[in-house]
Amino acid sequence: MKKALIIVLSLCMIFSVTACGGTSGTTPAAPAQPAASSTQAAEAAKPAESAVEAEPTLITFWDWYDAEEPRFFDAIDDYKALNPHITVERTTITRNDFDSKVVRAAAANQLPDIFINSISRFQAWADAGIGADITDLVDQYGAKENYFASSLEPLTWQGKLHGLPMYNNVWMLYYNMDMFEQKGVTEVPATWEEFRAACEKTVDKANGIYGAALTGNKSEEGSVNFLYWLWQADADLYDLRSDNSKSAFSMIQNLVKDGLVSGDMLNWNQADSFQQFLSGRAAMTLNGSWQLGPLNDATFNWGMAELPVGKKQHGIMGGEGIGISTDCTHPEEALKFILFMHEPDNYLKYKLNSGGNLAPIPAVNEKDVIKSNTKISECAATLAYCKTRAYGPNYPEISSILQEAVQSNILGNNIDEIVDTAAAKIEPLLPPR
Amino acid sequence: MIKNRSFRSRLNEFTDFAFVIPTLLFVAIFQVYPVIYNILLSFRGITMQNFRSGGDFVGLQNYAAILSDPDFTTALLTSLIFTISCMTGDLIIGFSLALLFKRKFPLAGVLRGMFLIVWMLPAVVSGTLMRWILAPDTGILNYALKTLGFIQDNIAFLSTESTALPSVIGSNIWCGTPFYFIMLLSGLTSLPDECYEAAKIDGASPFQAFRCITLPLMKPKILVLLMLGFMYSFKVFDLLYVMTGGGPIRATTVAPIYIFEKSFMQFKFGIGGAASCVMLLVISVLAVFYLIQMRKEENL
Repeated sequence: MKKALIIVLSLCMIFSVTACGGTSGTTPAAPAQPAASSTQAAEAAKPAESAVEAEPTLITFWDWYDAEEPRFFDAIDDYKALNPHITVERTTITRNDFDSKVVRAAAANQLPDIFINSISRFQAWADAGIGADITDLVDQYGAKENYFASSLEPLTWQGKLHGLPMYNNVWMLYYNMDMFEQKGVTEVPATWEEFRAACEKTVDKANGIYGAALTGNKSEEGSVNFLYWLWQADADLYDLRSDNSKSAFSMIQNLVKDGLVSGDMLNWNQADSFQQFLSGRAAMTLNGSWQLGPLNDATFNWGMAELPVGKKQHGIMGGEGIGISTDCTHPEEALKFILFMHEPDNYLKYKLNSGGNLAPIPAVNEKDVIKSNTKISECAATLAYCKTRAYGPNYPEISSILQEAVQSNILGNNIDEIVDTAAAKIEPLLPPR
Repeated sequence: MIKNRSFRSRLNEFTDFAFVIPTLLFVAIFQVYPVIYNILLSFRGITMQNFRSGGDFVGLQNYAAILSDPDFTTALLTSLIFTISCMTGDLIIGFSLALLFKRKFPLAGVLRGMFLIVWMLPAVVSGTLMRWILAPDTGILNYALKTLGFIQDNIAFLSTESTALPSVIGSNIWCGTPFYFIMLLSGLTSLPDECYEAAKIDGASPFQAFRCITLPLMKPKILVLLMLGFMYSFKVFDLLYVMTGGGPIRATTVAPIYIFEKSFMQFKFGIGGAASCVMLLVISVLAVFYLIQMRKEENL
């Protein structure tokens, strides 16, 4: 008897050991419940007379911002005041858990009505049947014209719109003016050659200062921060084996080989490489426009410029979009809420572009608040030549192959071999051009 | 009278099982079901494109795909190297510490408690801490090695292919040792003193006493511990994910990271499911040995 019990209990224990490894690497984190704000409570206390004629509708909304962040709560409260029959329920999920949580919700047909995601995911999600085709609905409201065409591109799959852009961001060159002055760099580097020359002048091995801090970690960030080099070399993932493409690889490899850029960049995400810059360990960094916020804490004079140009001027545009899911039973109401947030005055009121992000809505950029901010205007100006990562639904896999190529390159391996291996794997995954 | 007794023993049996029912239910819902679901998943060609419809039954195609994928076989090999190195390191350091702490010395209790803090730290915290310690330009390890004159140039521990795996192994040993230490210490304190007294009278040296008394008596405990240690180290994910993300290139991509990559970065659920089934198989083989060992120990 005792033995039987022991065996049963041991089996239980072994399952608890193996099950975690067996099913998935991560434990799903419970989504943080949105804190009910006091205004919401006040709303609820109001008599329900006004809601008599319209049927009460619940719109569920998933995002990955800080649960305490007021901007969406303000939007939700204001919208409720105008449309008492509509309740928007916000759930925040940490960014790392977001995708897998949405995918699991999709499998259970329990997607939220609206969701946020990086614009680079929208094509894959459209293809997976998570994001609904909202082309006709958006046309019905004549809303398409409100946005930059380039901002809509990554949200379009097979000619159909599957989301609306929330904000965009671009990558810029940030430099430490004080260091430039000390080391005699008089011109802000505008080309690859000048960038390298500035690195050579500012590098100071004895004090652990590098010319530039770049990003090359094993994540999407590593891919993004290589793609603009590749595009600037007038190459693309379609022609990785070309000489132009190899020149992008060798540019970075040589920077690392010659000690101008730390090889530890292959462990740095964008926040890490920016931290290196901010703490004075690098004279320059190539980083996102959202770093304009943290730059206020810089203890030195800094400047910002366009990415150094290779053979052709290119930039990369990132950002986030908002989509309506295929499980949404009232897409029109959901769209109305999104369009409400995107009205130019509301867009600014709810600070949807906060922290160095750019509005994808031309009318917002016409507002004085934006126009008077020279740095933001400078960033916005680059949107004219920026491209997006629109490589079809296989992009997540393409990206992870590219990440390995990037890392292998930083480690100084043979470039011909790197591009051959990567190209052979990437080419079958790319959508036809 | 006899009838009555048998009824009683039956009732006792029932009560015994009744106590286990909540655990059984818990295990069935949260552990057995996911494992079975995962096994079924591994026979389907589920990807991002078709997971809502469930995907087609593809037989052993997923298994064929991963077994012919050099990335997977390398990941399994890396996992084995990682696991065996961690177990060896954990055991040697843990055993040495246990032997040390068996002797009474001032503050032993406090120190023992402090070791446990390391074990209680979430892996994300230990991983971040280790990343800082091992950083090439700002890390304290490089600073220490340089100051002591062991190295000339800073070593980029986590961003060099040859040092990344040893570095994460070292970090995992640091995290795992306290568990070995506490388990072995509890075993050591339960060893009968008489044996040692008798050995002393017979003129045995401390080393002989260790080799002929401590080791044989501790053998079943060590075996059980090693098997548990294997299962734990084989599925370490968080520490590696935080420290290197499986890089540089694939130098620290162990099987769990490969599975994560396939399932949650590339959304090839079928492939990820097949890979985790292979992992499950490896662990199950060990689990059977573990059960046999447990029963042996019970019979002693």
